[in-house]
Amino acid sequence: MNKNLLLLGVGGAGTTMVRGVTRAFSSPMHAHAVDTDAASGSEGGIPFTLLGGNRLAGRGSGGQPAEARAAFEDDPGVLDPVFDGLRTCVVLAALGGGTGGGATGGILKRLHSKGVSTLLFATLPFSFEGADRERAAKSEAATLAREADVSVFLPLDDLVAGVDNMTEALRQAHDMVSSGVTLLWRLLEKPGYIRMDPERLHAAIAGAGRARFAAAAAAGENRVGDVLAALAANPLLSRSNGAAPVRTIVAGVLAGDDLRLSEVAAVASGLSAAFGPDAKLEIGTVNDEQTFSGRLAVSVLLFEESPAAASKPAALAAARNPLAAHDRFGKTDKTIWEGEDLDIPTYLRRNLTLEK
Amino acid sequence: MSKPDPVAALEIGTSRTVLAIGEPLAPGRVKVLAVEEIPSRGVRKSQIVDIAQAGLSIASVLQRAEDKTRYTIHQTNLAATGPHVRSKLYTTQWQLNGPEVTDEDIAGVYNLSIDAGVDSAERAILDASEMGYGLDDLDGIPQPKGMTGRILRLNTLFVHGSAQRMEDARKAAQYKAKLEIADVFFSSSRAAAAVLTPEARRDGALVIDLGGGTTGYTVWADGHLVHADVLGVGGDHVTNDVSLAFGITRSQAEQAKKEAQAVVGDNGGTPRIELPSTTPGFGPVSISRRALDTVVNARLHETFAIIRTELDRADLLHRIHSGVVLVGGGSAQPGIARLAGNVFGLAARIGELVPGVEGLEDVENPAAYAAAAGVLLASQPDPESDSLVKRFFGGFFGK
Repeated sequence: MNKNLLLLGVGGAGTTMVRGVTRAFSSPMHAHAVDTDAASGSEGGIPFTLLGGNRLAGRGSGGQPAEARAAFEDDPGVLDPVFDGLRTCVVLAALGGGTGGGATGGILKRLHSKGVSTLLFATLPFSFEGADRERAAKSEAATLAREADVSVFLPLDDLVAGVDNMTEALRQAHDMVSSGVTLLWRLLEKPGYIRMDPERLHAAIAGAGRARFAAAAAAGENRVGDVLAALAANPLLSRSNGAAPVRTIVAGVLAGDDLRLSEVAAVASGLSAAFGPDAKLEIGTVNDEQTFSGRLAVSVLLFEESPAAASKPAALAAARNPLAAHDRFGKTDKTIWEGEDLDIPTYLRRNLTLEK
Repeated sequence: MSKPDPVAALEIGTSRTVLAIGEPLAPGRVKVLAVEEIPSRGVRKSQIVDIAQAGLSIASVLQRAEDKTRYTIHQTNLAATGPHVRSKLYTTQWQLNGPEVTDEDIAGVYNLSIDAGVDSAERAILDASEMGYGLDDLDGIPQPKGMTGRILRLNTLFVHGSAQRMEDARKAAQYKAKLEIADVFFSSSRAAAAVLTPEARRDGALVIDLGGGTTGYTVWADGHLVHADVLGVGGDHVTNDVSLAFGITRSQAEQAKKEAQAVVGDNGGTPRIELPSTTPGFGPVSISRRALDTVVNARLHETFAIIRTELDRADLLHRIHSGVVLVGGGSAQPGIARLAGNVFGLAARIGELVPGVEGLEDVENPAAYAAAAGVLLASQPDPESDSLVKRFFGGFFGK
C-alpha cells in the first residue's frame, strides 16, 4: 500500500464511491472519507472523519454547500494528520449541493498548501435533478477547477442512460466511477509489464488543468478492438463543450496472464490515433489473473492542453498586470533584444507551464 | 619601511554596494584588508536612479570598511557597468618619422588611438586593450620598436560608457561619504583580470559577470581583451520573475532563489519550499520547487543563450579554448556552472581569484568580489597589463 497516494471521498456520494473502490480493489489501500453526516461513516470499512461536528452535530449539511464549507472552515486542519507525507491525492465527490459541493474546495486548498498534487473526480447531477442543482454544480465545478491540479467532471447523464429509477441510476453511476477509479488504482499499485507508478501520475498531473476519464472492458478474440471502439464512443472522452486538445494520455491496460505485448501495442496506437496523435502517451499494464481472467480492461485519462491551465501562477500573474514587470524597471530603459522585451519575465514570454 | 597607502575599490551594484580596501604589495599583487557589502538602494540595472539613496549606501559601506581596517579612505576607484557600456575595436595608423619604429612613433600611434576612442564627450573610456601592432603588410606584432617600415598600425579595443552615468556615480560617492572617485574601470574586465591566469587569457576565455542588474561579459584571446559587452539583465530580473510567478514578495523571492537549481531536474530537495512571511500582510507561502527551478532556469538559460548568439555572430566562440568562467554575485546560484556548460558547450566553472589577490581566502564565494579585487589590482598594475587607460589618462576624473 502506497502511503504517498490517498483516495479521499468527500460527502455522502464521495464516501460511497470510495467504499466501492476499496471493495473492488480487494487489497489494502490508502483511502479515507469525510462528510458532515455521521451516517456516512457508520458503514465502516474505511477511516472516516466527521466535519463540523460542533456546528451540525453529525446531521449533515441539509444540501447546503455553505453549511458544509463552514463546517470544514471551523477546523481546516482536521485532516492534516491524514495528509501528512502525501504526494498525490485523488478526490471523489458529487457536485450540486451539500458536502461534496461545499467542502471539497477548502479540502483541495488545504492539500495544495501542503504541496500535495490533487486529481479531482466529481460527478455532475442528472439533468432531471433540476436546473437549480445543475447551476449550483456548474458554479462549484468552476471553483474546484481552480483549486485542483487536475479536475475530471463526469456528467451523470453520460454515465448512465435508460434507467428510470433515480436511486438505481445513482447507484449505477457511482458504481461506474468506482470501477474506473479502481482500475486506476490497480494500475498504480499492482505490478505489470510496464509499471505506472504514482510518480508518473504525479508528473502528468503537474501543470495540467482539466482531464477526461473513462474505462471499458471486453473479452474474446477481438477484445482490443472492442475496448477501443467502446472508448471512442464514450461521451466522457469525446471532445465537446470547448474541450482543448489532449496533451497527455495516461492509460492503463489491465488483464489476466494472457495479456500479450502485441495487445498493449495495439491499445497504445489505437488510443493515440483516437485521442491525440501528438499527445504524450504514458501507458502502464496490470496482470491480475484473479480479477481479469480472459478479460481486458483499459482505463484512460486524457489531460487536456488548456491555455487556461498552461500556467496557473503565470496566468494569474499575467492577468493581474501583464506589465507588472516594468514596475521594477520603470525608471530605466527597456532591455530589448531582437524585438523582445527582456524585462518581461522569460517564463511569461515563453508561456511555460509551471507546476502549482 | 613605511606601509604603502591603502587603495580602495567601490562597486555600486543593483543588489549590493561593495567597498574593498587593499594594500598594494607589488605590481600585480594586492592584499585585501576588508571587503564589505550592504544592499543597494536607488540603483536599477546598474544605474543610479536616486543619488541620495545610493549615496547613503556608499556612506554605510565605507564606514564598515573603515571600522574594520582603521584606515580613513578619502579616495577610491570605481568599478562601473551598465547597459550603456559597449566595446569597439579601433585601428589607427601612424606614418613613421624615419625608416625604423621609435618610441616616439609608438607614443604617436597610442595618442591617435586614444583620440579615436574618445569620439564623443558623452562617452567615457573605461578600459582599453592593445591588441597588437601592424607594420605595412605585417600584422600581429607584439613589440614593433626597431622594425623597418612606413605605416605603423595599432589595433585597440576600447570599452566605453555613458559619461553622465559616471558623473552620477561620482555625485553619489560625494553625497554623504565625501568620497572622491579617482578612476573608473569597467567592472567586468576587472573581474576577469582577477580570475584569469595569463595562460587562460592566452588560450581564450569567456568571463561572465553575473550582476544584480546587468550581465557583463568579456572575451579574452591571445592574451588580450578582445570583446566586451553588457546585457541589461541580471539577478534582479530573476528575483522579479520569481516574485511575479508565485505572487510573493521580493524578499521571499530572494530567499527562494537561493534554493533554486539553475538546471531543472537537478534539485533533490523536498518538492515544496516553504517561505516564511517577510512582510506584514503577506503570509507564509509554499511553492513548487520544480516550478521555481523552471522560472530561474528560463531566465538564466535565455541570458546565456543571448551571449552565445552574440559571440557566435562576432565569430569569437571558436577562440575560447579554456572555457567559461563565472563571476559576480549571481555565480552563487546553485547549478549555474552546469547550465553555462550546457549552453556554451564548453567547460564552465566558478571563478577563483588569481594568486596575486590575497586576503579573501576565507570569504564565501570569492567570485562575487572579483570586480572589487580586480580594481584593487589595477591600482598598481602589472607592467604586463593590457590596459592603456592608466598609462595615458591618469584617471577618468583627473584628466
